[in-house]
Amino acid sequence: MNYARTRIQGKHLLSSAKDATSVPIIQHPDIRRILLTMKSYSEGMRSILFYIGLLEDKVKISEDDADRTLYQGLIDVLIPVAKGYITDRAFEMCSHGVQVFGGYGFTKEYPQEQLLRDCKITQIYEGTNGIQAMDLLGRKRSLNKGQSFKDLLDEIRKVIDTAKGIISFKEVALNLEKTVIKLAEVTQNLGETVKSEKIMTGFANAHPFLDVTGDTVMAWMILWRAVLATKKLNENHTKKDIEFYEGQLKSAQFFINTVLPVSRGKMDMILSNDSSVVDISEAAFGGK
Amino acid sequence: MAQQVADRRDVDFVLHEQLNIEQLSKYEQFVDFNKKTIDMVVSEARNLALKELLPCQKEADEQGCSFKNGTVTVPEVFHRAYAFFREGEWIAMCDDPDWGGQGMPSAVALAANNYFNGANFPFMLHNILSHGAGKLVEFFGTDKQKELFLENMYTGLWGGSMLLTESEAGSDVGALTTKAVKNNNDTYAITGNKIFISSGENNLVENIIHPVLARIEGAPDGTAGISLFLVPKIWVNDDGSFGEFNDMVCTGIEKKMGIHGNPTCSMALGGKGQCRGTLLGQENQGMSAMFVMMNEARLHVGMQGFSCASASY
Repeated sequence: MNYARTRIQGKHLLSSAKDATSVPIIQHPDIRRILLTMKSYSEGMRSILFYIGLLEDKVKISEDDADRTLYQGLIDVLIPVAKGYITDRAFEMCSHGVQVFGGYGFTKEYPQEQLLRDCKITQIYEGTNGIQAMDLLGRKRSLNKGQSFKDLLDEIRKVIDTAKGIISFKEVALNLEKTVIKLAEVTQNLGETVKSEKIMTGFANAHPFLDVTGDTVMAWMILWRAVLATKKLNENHTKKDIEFYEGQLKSAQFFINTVLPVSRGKMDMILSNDSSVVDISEAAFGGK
Repeated sequence: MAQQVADRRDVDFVLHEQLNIEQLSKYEQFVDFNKKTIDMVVSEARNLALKELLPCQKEADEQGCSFKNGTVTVPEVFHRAYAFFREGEWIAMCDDPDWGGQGMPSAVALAANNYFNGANFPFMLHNILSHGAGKLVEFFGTDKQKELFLENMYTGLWGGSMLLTESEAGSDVGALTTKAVKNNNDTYAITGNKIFISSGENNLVENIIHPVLARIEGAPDGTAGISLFLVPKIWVNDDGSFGEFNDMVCTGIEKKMGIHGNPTCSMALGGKGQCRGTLLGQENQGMSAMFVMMNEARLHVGMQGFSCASASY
């Protein structure tokens, strides 16, 4: 962020004067897109991870067995997202970081390239992300006879319902609602596919399933943040706080409006059960 | 001044405005953790991360670890950082104070870890492993094992690791061949070769207590026949004093793409037939034990990745 605010390169896209001054790169649309991507994902990831931490503590202090089962089930379902999805996206964010720095990002003069190199291992150890995807599809989807996954979607629906009541957020909330409905359909469909003779195709879609589940969980966290921010903006706050809360609203608008349509496209892909991955012969991969 | 590693305002937003972590202080277990304490913990973590961990991040990456005659040295700069880390009692943040922990709520520890990992994740890998290995002892250890090992691990005097992977057994951990044969006493003779062992050997600590997955002679194939053992680098006698080196040798470290500050070791156990371990938990229950720890381990890896992204932003 600091670099994008201070690094001067290029004229503003809208400046027509020949002698217009160059501007910090944060004023260029492509850079803003990358930065808002990094912002919204960082924030969503933080919320997911700390939320799981809270669930762990709630398990510890619960006196009710039903509560404990609910919280533990949510933790168990969210863990593949916490590890597999988050580290996949984190590596991409580190790569975006290099991109923002431009040529300097590729050099050792700046710390960004180390972050990218160091981050890669998180996709591999403690269970590769392929394994995390299999865990979500093969185990966690049907945990407690599928109840825990349903509980997760119910938690998401609570935030959607609150958001629908806020006029400025209604469209965004409906967008997430559409996504949750589709995710439920994909979950059901994949569950049947992996029990059928198409099981290999089902598991070929394990990683995409992790992706779309993760996208939905991220959107939930980000919408939850935005709903809180909206309430706060109706109260009295410092200028700095107002800027922060407005940032929350924009992260939500960005993530839900630009990422979820892609997620839903991916869900359509999963539902289509394309089997090319499974059908291609080993020889046809070539390279021998 | 630009925020470094993590945006404090955002950390506070999640802890207090989104999740209301202070609600936990209504319960006896977390009674000390009101907003003031939570904020103080996060500030202390942030200070340590920015003052001691971040400045040596690059140097440690460039220096890396070195291997000579079975000994591994970690980046010189880590010794100072480690001393501060131990002094602040940061290794076992959420654990029982009776064993050297701080009894914190998980979410608060995660906030601290956001700063620590974003500042210097290769350094933190040492600590996460010490804590994880300690947790296995806390959950599955006999009173004797806890007495001998736990507090030293949670306070960071001794380190830990996780010996699972072998050259033919990565994702397919059930294919491992490291063997355990029962001795006449309570110990087992362990023989085998492990690879990709983070912190398997290092000079940060005076002893390392290794949890090792192995198959007891005669146990079934696959994951059903795997047991968990505690194999100290230096044998610890019943009275807590050091015995001999436990016939466990580091045979080399990997040259890697990243996390140069953490040695990724190949380990040979029982080359002279003298490597001893004690059973941790029940026979053939090694995988169940690992699964208990798996959630926490995986959550922490997510935290590591996220912290890199957070620092990038």
